[in-house]
Formats: sequence, structure tokens, C-alpha cells
Amino acid sequence: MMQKWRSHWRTLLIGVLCTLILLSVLSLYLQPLFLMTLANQMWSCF
Amino acid sequence: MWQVLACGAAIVTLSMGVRHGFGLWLQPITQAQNWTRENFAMAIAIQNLTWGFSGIFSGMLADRFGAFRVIVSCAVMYALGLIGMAYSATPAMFTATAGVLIGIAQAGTTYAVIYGVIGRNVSAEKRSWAMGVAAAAGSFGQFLMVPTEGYLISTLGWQEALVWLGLAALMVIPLAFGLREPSFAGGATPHRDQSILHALREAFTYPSFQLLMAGYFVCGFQVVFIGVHMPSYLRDHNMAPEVASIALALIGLFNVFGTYIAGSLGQRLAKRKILSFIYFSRSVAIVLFLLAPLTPLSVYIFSAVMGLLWLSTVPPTNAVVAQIFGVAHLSMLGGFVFFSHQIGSFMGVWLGGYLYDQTGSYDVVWYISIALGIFAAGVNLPVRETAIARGHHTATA
Repeated sequence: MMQKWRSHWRTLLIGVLCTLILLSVLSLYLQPLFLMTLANQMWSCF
Repeated sequence: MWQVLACGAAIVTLSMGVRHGFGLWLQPITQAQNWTRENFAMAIAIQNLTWGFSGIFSGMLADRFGAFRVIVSCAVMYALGLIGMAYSATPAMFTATAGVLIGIAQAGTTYAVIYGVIGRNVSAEKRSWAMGVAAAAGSFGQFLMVPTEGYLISTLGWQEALVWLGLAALMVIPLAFGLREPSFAGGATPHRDQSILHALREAFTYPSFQLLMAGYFVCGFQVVFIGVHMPSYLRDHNMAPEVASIALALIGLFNVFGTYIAGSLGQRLAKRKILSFIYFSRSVAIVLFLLAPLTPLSVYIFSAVMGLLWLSTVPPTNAVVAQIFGVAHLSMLGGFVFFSHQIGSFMGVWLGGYLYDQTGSYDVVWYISIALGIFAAGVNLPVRETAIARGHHTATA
């Protein structure tokens, strides 16, 4: 029972951490200067 | 397993990420070298085709000699390609470095080769999930490296930024040590029931493999058409320039979630149904996007939905290949499937431009994308996921 809880908490913690990292990267995109640079040079190389 | 997964994911993050920001070099390089955009575009087009074509051979080599040697060689080529990009004096030289060299390097440091190691080292019960983790890492690399490379260019200048990126690519080498497999030590080859030719004959005469390749072609077509032509489409409809930037960011963000979710679901649900759902959903999303009034909000919703469906085809497609044919030739077969993806990518970007020039709008290409999505949803449904029967034996899972 205890182990199951620990596993759930670990999964939750990893999820929260990954989401925070992703949101902080998203905030880099939303900086006005970079937003315009990207818009001017948008030429995706997929 | 964790070591393979962590190192494989980190390699894919770097390799997929570095190339994804290449568009940011378009203006500084063409202006500094006094080249046309076509010079730059040609190098990137050749890079994409080289990536797809050489993926077959790097897959063969990885299956035969182990992924470690292939990854290390390709990491060196990646670094040389990036530094070569910085010092190319002519468009031909630029095509050789940014196009050919980096194309080969990508083939040896991305999905097909890494998935071969994951396939051999992760149990079948966790394989799809593990492939989802690696694909999500690649998606994260793409998402992370665009602003990072933008920052490098603005602080160091385009040339020095490329050199630093080249040095960063060398970080793949220590990570590759985590993917060394004892069965390939000292040039040894693990016992395989089939030769390369047998494996190829078997795969190409097996209808499900052909159906998977057809589906993956559509994936490449849709993703690259939208990725490359979406900004122009939005500009044509008088959207503010930053809308396209935010759209790209949202695609990148949701792509990370989408690839992970698709890989995880692949452990519990039939992968052919997941693939069919993804392709069908793309068509539905495009139809709704075209029918709805075009506003920044509709663009953002469409981008988020397409982000979820973006590279989510990668884990289930490769996991099905492993499930049907086993893991002995997984990198090579994955390379062939990816080649089909890259042909689709080429067609998506080229046809998008060609039909726009012919008709004055992207409407026809959108309709083709919708039709192809429905086609791919249909062709994935009859895929047989069970291991192929080989005389008295079946493919080793």
C-alpha cells in the first residue's frame, strides 16, 4: 500500500517537473523580441 | 533498461533539436554570404532526402555492427557538418555540409538507430512506452532548441553559434557509451535467423509493412506541408506575424505530450487503431480548421490539436514493425519506413509550393491532406500486429 502511494507520488512529481520545464521553454517563445524574430525568419525545416 | 532509455532519449533530444532550428540561420547566412534563399533551401531539401535515404544503410550497419559505432561516427559527422556550415564559402560546399553530411549524421543519431537498441533491450511489454519516451525526448529537443539557437545567434553571431552547436553535437559520443551492447562487443554479430536480403524480401512482400509505409508517407506529407506552409497561409489571410510564431510554439509543446501519450497507449491498445485514430483526427482537425472562421484563437486550437497528433505516429509505427518482424533487423526496417516518411515530407513541401503557384491558394493541398489522412486511417486498420509466421518459427519479440 505504502509502496503504491510512493509510486503514485513519484509519477506525479515527474509529471509536474516535466510540465514546469515545458512551460518555462514556452515562455522563451513568448518573449516579444524572439516572437518577432521567429515570425520574420519563420522557415520551418521539418 | 533505464540507461538505454536515458542515453537514447538524450541523443535524440540533441540530434532532433539541433536541426530543427536551422530555419533561424536562413537570413543571417544568406545575407552574409550573399546567397539566394534557394541556395539555402536546396541544402535543407537535400538534407531531408539524405536523412531518409541513408537511414536505410545506417540501420543496416547498426543491426550488423551495433548502434554504438554508427552513433559515434555520425556524431562526428554532425559536428563536422555544423562547423562546415559555418565556413562554407560556396553554395555547393554548403549543400555538401548542411545537406549531405548532416543528413547522414541525422540518420545515424535519430529514431531508426535508437529504436533498434531500445527494441533489443526493452521487453516487448514496455517497448511501445519506451519508444514513446524517446520520441517525446526528440519532440522536446525540437521545442527547446529553436529559442536556444535563436539566443546563440543573437549573442554569438551566426558563425560562432554554429561552431558551438557543432561542439554540442559531440556530446552525443559520451551518451553513446550508454547504448553499447555486449552482443556486438569486439565486432561480434549476434546470431540472426535471416540475412538482410531475406528480411527485406519478407518485409516488402508482407502487406502490413506496405500499409505501414503508406501511412507513414502521409504523416510526412501532412506534417511538413503544415510546418513549412502554415506561416504563408496565415500571412495570406492577414494574420499578425506573431500568430504563426505562437502556433509553432504550441505545436512544439503539445507534440511532446502527444508522442508520449501515443507510446503509452500502444502498450494497452491495438497500435493499428491508434494510428488510424491519429490520421483520421488530423483530417477532422483540418476540416474544422478550414470551416471555422480564421482567428488567432482558431489557429491556436488547431496548432494544439495538430501538436498532439504531430509525431505521435512515430512510436506506434516503429513498435508495430518490431512486433511483426522482431528486432534483429529493426533499425533497417525502421529506416525503410522512415524513408517513405521523408518522401512524403518532400512531396508535402514541394506540392504545397507548386500548387500554390498554379492555383494561387493552398486550398487544393489542404484537400489533398484531408483525403490522405482518411486514406492513411483506412490503410492502418487492416495491419496485422501479430508476429509473422516463419515456417515453424515466429519473429522473436
